[in-house]
Formats: sequence, C-alpha cells, structure tokens
Amino acid sequence: MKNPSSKRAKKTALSLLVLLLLWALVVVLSSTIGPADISFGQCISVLCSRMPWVSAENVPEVHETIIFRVRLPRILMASLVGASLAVAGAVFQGLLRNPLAEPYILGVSSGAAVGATVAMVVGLATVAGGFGFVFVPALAFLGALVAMVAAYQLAKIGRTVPVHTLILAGVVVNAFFSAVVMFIVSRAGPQLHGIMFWLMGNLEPVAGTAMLARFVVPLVVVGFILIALYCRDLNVLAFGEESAVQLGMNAGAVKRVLFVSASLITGVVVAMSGMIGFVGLVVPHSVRMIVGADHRSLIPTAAIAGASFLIVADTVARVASVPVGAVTALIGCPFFAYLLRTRKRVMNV
Amino acid sequence: MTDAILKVVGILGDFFVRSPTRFAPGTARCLTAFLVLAACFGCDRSGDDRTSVEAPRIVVTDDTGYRIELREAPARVVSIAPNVTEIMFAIGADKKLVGVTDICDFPPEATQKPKIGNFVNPDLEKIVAREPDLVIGSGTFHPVLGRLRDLGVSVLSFNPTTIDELLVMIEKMGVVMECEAPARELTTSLTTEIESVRSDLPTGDRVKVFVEIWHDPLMTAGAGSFVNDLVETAGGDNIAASIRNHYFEISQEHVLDANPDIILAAYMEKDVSAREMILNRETWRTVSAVASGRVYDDIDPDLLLRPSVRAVHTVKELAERFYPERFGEQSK
Amino acid sequence: MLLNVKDVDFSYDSRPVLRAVSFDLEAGAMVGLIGPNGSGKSTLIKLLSKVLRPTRGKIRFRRRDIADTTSAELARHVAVVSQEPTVAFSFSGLETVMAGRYPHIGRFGFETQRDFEIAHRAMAFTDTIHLSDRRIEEMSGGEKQRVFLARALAQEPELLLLDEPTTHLDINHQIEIMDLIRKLHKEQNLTVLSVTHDLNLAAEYFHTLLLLREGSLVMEGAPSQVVRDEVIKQVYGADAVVSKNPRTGAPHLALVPRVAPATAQRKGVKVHVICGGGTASDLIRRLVIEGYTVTAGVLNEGDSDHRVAMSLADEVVTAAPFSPVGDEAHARNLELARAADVVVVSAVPVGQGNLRNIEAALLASSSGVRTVVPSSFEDQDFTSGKATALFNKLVETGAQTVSMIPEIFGILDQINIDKPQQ
Repeated sequence: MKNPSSKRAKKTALSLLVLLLLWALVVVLSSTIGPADISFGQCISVLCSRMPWVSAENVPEVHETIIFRVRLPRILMASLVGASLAVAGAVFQGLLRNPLAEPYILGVSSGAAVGATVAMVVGLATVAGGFGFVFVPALAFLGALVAMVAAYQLAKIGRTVPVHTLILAGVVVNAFFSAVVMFIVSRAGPQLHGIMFWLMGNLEPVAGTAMLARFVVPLVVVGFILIALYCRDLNVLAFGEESAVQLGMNAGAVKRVLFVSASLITGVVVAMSGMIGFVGLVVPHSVRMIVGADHRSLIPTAAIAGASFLIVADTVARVASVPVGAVTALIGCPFFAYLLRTRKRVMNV
Repeated sequence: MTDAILKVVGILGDFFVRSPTRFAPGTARCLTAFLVLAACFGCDRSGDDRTSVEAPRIVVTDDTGYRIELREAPARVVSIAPNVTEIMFAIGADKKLVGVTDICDFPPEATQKPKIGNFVNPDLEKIVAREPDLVIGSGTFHPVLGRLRDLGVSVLSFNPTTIDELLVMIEKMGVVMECEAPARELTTSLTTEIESVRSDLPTGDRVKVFVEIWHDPLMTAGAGSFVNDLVETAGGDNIAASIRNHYFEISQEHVLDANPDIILAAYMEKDVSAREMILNRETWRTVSAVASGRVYDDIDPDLLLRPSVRAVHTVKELAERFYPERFGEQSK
Repeated sequence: MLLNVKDVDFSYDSRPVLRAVSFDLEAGAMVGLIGPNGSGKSTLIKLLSKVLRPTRGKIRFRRRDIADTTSAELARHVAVVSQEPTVAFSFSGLETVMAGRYPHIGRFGFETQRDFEIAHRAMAFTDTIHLSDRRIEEMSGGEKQRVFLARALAQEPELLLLDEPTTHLDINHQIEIMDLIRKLHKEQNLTVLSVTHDLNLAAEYFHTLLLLREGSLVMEGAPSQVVRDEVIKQVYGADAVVSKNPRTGAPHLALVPRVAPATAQRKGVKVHVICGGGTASDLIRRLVIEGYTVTAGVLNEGDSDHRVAMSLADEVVTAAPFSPVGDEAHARNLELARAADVVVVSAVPVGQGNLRNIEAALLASSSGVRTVVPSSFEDQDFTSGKATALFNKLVETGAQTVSMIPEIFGILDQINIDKPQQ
C-alpha cells in the first residue's frame, strides 16, 4: 500500500506554491496602492524595469524611489512581521497546548515595549545626529530578551518548565512590564507622541532598510529554520508531554528550542514594528481549520497567510490612515467568526 | 515575471526536497522565495549624497546635532511643520517650497501649496513624491525623518524652545536657503522688538501667569516650552515652570496654591469659550486672576504655541495684558 | 531477563510514593500490576518509561541502566499506552499511529514507505485501519484506545507498558482490548506489564500479578495466589467472595456490600426463601439490603444461590451437593418456613431432588403463613406434573402469584404496615 504521507507532502507542496503565488500577487498589487499619484500601469512598468531580462524603459526616478524604496520595504516588513507573528503564534499554541496562546502571551511584547519606551524617553531616539532610530529597536529587542528569560526562569520548577507555569509566568511578566510602560508614559513629555505611535504598531521600517536586511531578516530566518526542524516534535507534543517523553522525545530540550525561537522572532518583529495584535492568534487558528493540525504543513502555510494578511491590512491602514493593529482586528474578526461557525472545533482542549 | 521567479524557486525547492537531509519541504520553499525576492527588491542603495570634490558651500547643523553639507541651495523644499512654513515665507524662500502640512495656514498663500499630510503624521510617500532636496521639520522627531535620510534626502530638524533658539533657527534657514540677508534683517527687527518690550518692563514683582492649554484634563506648559519663554520674556512668571517640563497635566491644587494673577487660555480647540468657563469655576473664585477678571482667551493659540515670527510679535500683546499700566496706552 | 527493577524509591517532593520496589520481568511475560488507588501503580509505569526518575534504586532494561539511556533509545524498545491520553489537536487515526515512529526517525529524516508499512501493520493488528482518516475526537473510547495501542505497536517495542487501558471503557471494549493484548503477547512475543484496576480482568488475563500497597510490593504470584479473599481483605479492606469463573476457571471476585446501618434497621419481618439454581440470588441480596431477616433452604452446596445465601442470609439449610433433600434438612426447612412471616418460592427448577422443598412451602402455607409463588410455574416442573400439582394447591391455599420481584416487595410492604416494628 502506498504511503499516504508522500501524497500528502505533494499536496502540501502544491498548495504552498499556490499560496506563494498569491503572496507575490498581493505584494505586486499592494505596491500599486499609495497616496502618491502613480497609476497602476506605471507601477507595473516600474516593477518590470528591475528585471534584467526586461528592457529598462524610461521610468521616472521618483516613481522608482517610491515603489522600491518606500513601498516595497514596507511590504517586505509587513511580510516578515506577518509571517513571524503567525508562525510564533502557531508554535506557542502547540507548545502550550492552549488555544488562547499567541506570541505576546509570554511577555515578550511588553518587554520590547519597555525597551522602546525607555529608549525614547531617555532621548536615545534623537542621538547620533538626530536619527538614532536604530536605538529604539535595539533596546526593544533587548527588553524582549529580558522578558523572555524572566518568564522562563520564573516558570522553572526544579529542572523542568511545565506548560501551565509558563503561561502564568508569562501573565506575570506581561503585567509587570505593561505597568512599567504605563508609568513611563505617564511621565513622558514631548516623547509621548512617539511612544503612543510605537505602541500602536507601525510597519514603516523606521530603523532603515539596512537594519532590516542585516539584522531582522537573518534573525527571522534562523528562527524559522529552527522551528521548521522541530515541526514534527510539535505534532508529538500535542499528545501531552508525558506521552511525548514516552515516544522518545527529549521534551525539555525541544520545549527550550521552540520557546527560544518563537520568542526570538517575536522579539525581533515587535522591536521593529511595535505591537500588532490579532495576527498571531487568529491566523494560526484559521489556517489550522483549513489545512489541519500537522505542523509540517501548518507552519509554512501560516507564514505565508500571515504575510499576505498583514500586507493587505497595512495597505488598508495606509489608505484609511488607521493604525494597522485596528485594521487587523477589523478584517480578521469577521473572517474568523465565519470560520468558527462553519468549521469543526478549533482545538481539543 | 513572477513566474520566472517561481520557476527558480521551484528548482531550488526541489533541490531542498530531494536531498537526503532536508527540512519540511514547504518551509524550505518559503525561505527560498523570501530570500530571492528580498534580494531582488531589498537592495540597499545607501549612496552618500554628500561626497563632493570641492568643499561644500553650505554647511548647517540642526538642533539634534545633525550636519548637512550642500553644494548649492536646495531647489525643492518640503516643510513638515507650520512654523517652518511661516518662516520660509518670512525670509522669502517660499518659491522653493513644494510641500506643506495640512495645518500650514499662515500666510494664506501657504494653503495653496501641495499637501504632504499633517504635522502628527506626515506621509512618507507624499513627501518623496514631491522630490525634495531638503526636508525641514520642527518640534518633531517623527520616524519619517529617519526614513528620509535612509533614502538620501537631506533633513533638518529644529526644536526651538526659546525665542533665542527661534532666532538661531531663522538664521540657519537663511543660510541653507541662501537668503541670509532677508533672514538677518528679520532677526534683527525681531530682536529690536523684544528689546524694546524688555526695557519697558517694570522692575519689582512680576505677575504670576498660568497658561491653560486645555481644561479637561487640566493641562499647562512648563519650562522648556515655547510659550513659557514668551511669558517670561513678556515679564511674567509661569507658575508651571518650576513644576515640570513641557506640556503636562496639572492638578487644580497647584493653581490654587500658586494663585496666579493672570490666566491665559490657549486652547487648540477654538470653539470653546474659555474665559467664560474659567470665570464660572466655583472652586477658583478665590484665585486672583478670576476675582479680578484677568482671564484672557483672545490671543490665537497658534500665536502662542507655534514658535514662529508671529509669536514674537505676541510678546508685546502679552506685556500689554500683564502690565496694562505700562503698556496700556500703546495698546490698540 | 528483560527488565530489572531494584530497590526503587520515589517521592514527589517530600511525599514518598514508592518504597524499595524490586521485581524482575522476563522476556515474554504477561504481568498485571494491581493495587488500591494511590499505591503507586501509575508512578511505577512513569518510572519505567523515563517520565520520572527514581529517587533511589536502579531500573535496568536489558541489563542497561535506563538512567544512562536517552528517552529516544528507550522508546525504540518500550512503548506505553496510557489511561486516557489527551490530544490537543484534531489528528487523524493514521497521524496518531505514525507518531509512534518518532523514536525511529531522526530529526532531519522523513517518514519512509517502511515506516508507513509498520504503522499499517500495527493498525491491521488492532483492527483500526478503517479509522485512518477519522478524527481522533470523533472516535469512541474503545476505538481511541485501539488507535493508541496501534501507536505503541508502531514503535516496534519489546516491552509494552499499559496504564489502566480499560478503565474508561464499556465492558465489551474492555474485553476487546484485553483480548487484543493477549493476542499481541502470544503472536508478537511482546512482554506486557499492565496496570489494571479491574481485579477480575487481572485475574483472567495475566500469568503473574504484582500487588502494590502504599508504595510497596506486597505480593507477587499467579492470580490464584494473589486474588484470594484474605489477600483482598487485607490489602483493599473490602469483603469479597472469590469464586471461579464458571467458563474460564480463573479466580472471580464478587463484591460483598456492607449492609449500611440505616437500612439494617431490622424490620422484624422474616422471609424464608425456597430457591436454587441462581434464581433467587438477586432477591436475597435485595431483601438483606432492605433489612429483612432472610433464611433459605434447602440448598445444595455448590449451588449459586447457596453461596449467596451463605454470605448474606441468617440461616441456610444445606444439603450435600447433588443430593436430594434429606429428612433432617426437610424438617428444619419446614420449621423455618412456619416461623417466617412470608415464604417466597422462586422460579427454581423443581426436580425429584428438591420436590420436598415445595411440599414444605405448601405445609407452611396451609398453616397460615403468607406464601408467594411464581405465576408461571409450569416451566419449572421437571417432575412430570407433581410439582405443578403442588403449586396449584398452594394457590388454592391462598398463595399469591407474582411474576416480578418488585411485586414481592409490594407484598412485603403490606406486611410491614400490619406488623409493629421491633
């Protein structure tokens, strides 16, 4: 009898290819939308002009600048953030076996918020000739790491980190760091505006595309690779930690790797773009209801779905001048509600 | 185009899938796609606009310590703050102004200029679409400025908190726009104006002034805000100056305790009748300013809060209200 | 020797759970682990599968200390089926079974055709192939347990550990699983160690039983040695009657409920039951629980009603096995019948040997004792009409006919009301 998993793998690969096409389409379409007055046709010709086998027509430089250096970096940022949040959300849901789990549950986001707020209040954002915007994400990332370690250490019992204590530790860390942010905000003067702006979430790569390429992308890629290697383990963990050990898993090490990689990618994207909610909770659930719970297909699908979703949300946000976090909730909620009603159970807990 | 990319992706993906040690095939494909597309579009062209063979003619440092060097005066300038727009017109550089904010309303001609968003949220794309050589901001360290620099646009960011700093800003703008003469003229006349008010101030006790920026919550402006310097220059003592810096929420107790002689209402929301509201406050009846009726809401808040030329003229009006005996005869 | 457990202690923080547990498991053994709740049975399974580490002592699998082996290494030889495993996600039957191949596939590897074949074979053996695409949450308890058993088999283990595999299942599924395990043990040469709560299942299926009590291994032996009245009484503190399963000969436990003081309010009503062949076991039991004073006779030793009556009734007139009712027995039977407030004749098959019992009933009824007889007594008559004649006479003398037990209690209630309490 033929192994159904190979057929399954082929089917997954095919649907992923289709999704990738969809994502590419979303990228192209989104790059044609913006307040600058560039028509659809002009936009396409700009995009084509970059391809080496297409003859470079006379494309006005300002259009090139806007499309390639204003819009596309932002779209790439949205892709990275969306994919990271969706993947991290899926990992935490599997790791914690809790449907309410999402990337911010363990306090990583509020740790990042503390780092960013401190950087702005102390004035680091205006150092180095006024454009030390690098410091804000750098300190935010540091804050995220601190929160991650704090939650982990807090949750340790003996040598193990049980899942339920991890959730509680995350709640504590979240609450504490959120309170710190509140305190700083109340004392902030002119920086208040910048802080609120950061907290609401923003996909503009303010720290510069160089930072994006040299720092964010590699870290995210490393995180993704690690998670990809541990997808099968996530499947087995679904049977409970005891069963996982009895099936031969080194549960402690696996949990550590998954925790660190998911926190890492969350920390990086929150440091860059503030707190954009809803993506990390709802995208994994929606994808799971459509493609099933096997993490080897769930995680890559969630990545692409998250990327596309956030690009769409950001485009709407740009056009309507609304914070992107509000848009993700406004379009995501009805869709998720629809799925809940028409599909089977979200998770068996 | 996209098909070509995906064909490449497919080939790479197959490579990943067929080799004996492999990741989940889907993830490998995604990663490859990401990297390929990122490489295509994410190339960083951080060119250095400022390398030049000869020594640059124009060198200006802004209030954050950032230094720009230009070979010639910029031909296209975008302003992302209303006071910058006002100054551009005042020094005669308005011809080169190609973009302003939604709230740049003075002088009236400014409203004819193309818009690039508002002061709080300037739109990066709109700014770039104007193809500026220089962007000037004031009072904001908006992340957009960082992105502009990233894109190779020169940016100046000022933050004048006193009249003296404002005068320096006007001079620097004169330098960068090569309108030094008109700028110098302007600063000189403003300085003279300030001096004449200063010299006429009475010696002895200064009036205590409370600046009410908003009523609910009760907000005021402390040390380090521009309006604070206006008040101080006009001979008043801002009661909030010793409490905190910049704009902040203040409790009524502080006001009752300090017992100001003058209350200046500078609500951004121009529809509210501030004077009536303040005079009707039950708990404030004991405050000297309320008792004596010296509550003023008739000065346009833009003139108080926006660090610009008109604000300097406002010093005189403030002095008239603070010391009517001294300046009263000269008032309108 | 496959498994060697030596002097194992285990405590949760400061609470000791297992004390100096030692035993050996030979390859090919089928061992049951029994004991009261809290005796440490599940903990022992967890220790054997490396979920927990012993605070003292050694556990050796194939002469290697499992503390020195990795979980993965052990999982290639030892598989566990838990009580009621939870699954956080909606996996299919096949996906669940394939998880059993986890210890055999490296991190960078993939499920091969061979892995699938092994899983398939496991599912064939457990009759779960039709559940390949069914979602785990849509399966019944028995189906789920079989799938998890298949998963364990997919690990290709030498030792199968089971933690109460039948506890939450219906009887038919319980037997199903146990039969399957027995088959596995025989055909696949699997060594089995299973925790079970059900002493009857344990006695039926296992060659050896390990009895745990409060963390210590108190007994190790064949079911006939371990499942005995005294042992059960001592370890569980419960009264039980151990007999033999009539079909299989395995020791079989019958519970003896303690008559609760409240209902033991002796109603002072004496009921004499004339029965046999298991027809009145239920009735006697219920009469005793309700607080009636019950006597019975004449019953042969070995008769199932005899056993029950011996445990519960105040007095039982006994005859030797397979012997007809003797004079002495008959006389005593008559005495009891006459002294009772009610005589109940059950649907006992009447033959030459116990015809005198019916005669006794008739005599009692004639002397005024209220009697109750079954309504369709022709079916019980194996005396070519003699018994029927007696029954007819009983009805003529005023015996009441009933067809169901509740009717008997109805009649007794009447008597209750008439008779003052003592």
